[in-house]
Amino acid sequence: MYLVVDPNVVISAVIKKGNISEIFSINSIIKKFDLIAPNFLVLEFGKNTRKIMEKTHFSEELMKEEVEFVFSQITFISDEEYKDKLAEAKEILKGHEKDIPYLALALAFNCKIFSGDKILKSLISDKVKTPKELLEEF
Amino acid sequence: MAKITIEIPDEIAFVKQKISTIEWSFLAMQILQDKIRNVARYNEILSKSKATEKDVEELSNEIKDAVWESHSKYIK
Repeated sequence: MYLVVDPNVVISAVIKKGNISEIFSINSIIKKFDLIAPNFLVLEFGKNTRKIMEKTHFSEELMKEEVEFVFSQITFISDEEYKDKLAEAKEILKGHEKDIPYLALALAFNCKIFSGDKILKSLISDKVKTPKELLEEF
Repeated sequence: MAKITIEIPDEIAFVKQKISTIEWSFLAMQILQDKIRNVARYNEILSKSKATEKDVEELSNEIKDAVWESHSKYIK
């Protein structure tokens, strides 16, 4: 089952213990969800590596291990595969434009978004799975 | 004892002939142990993190902004 992950989920999985890290832990064993994300997310994550190391106090080695564990569970999708859905996603999300790429990807793959974003959940409740909801599905 | 069924595609039937049932159990156990070891290591490292919920918000907002910036050209 495909599921789009947003930056909040990815960052949280890499740097903080909680519901999201539990989901990545279980999913790494039973592969219940096929996690997908826009390609650009990797690029932008890479630009923030130094900052992430400062916040976590991780060494380069530890950071590499965490990133590998989390990123090995995500397939990064080229914008070519969902750019046709961007206008539709914009229409649905109205002014909340920062989440357009994730909704467009979800529309293209006919799946939901795994996100802890409360605003996004309130806007498209049926399209968003919160960490708590997802944990209950295992 | 729990029984695990492993399907071997016909194309690699030769593998099945060369590996005994005991070896299959051992292999399955090793793979599962590796996965569990990886999960334990991931959680062990995470428990050392000094990052807060505020850091998660701040970093993910920055990345969200930048990712959006890369896509906005398609719908402006």
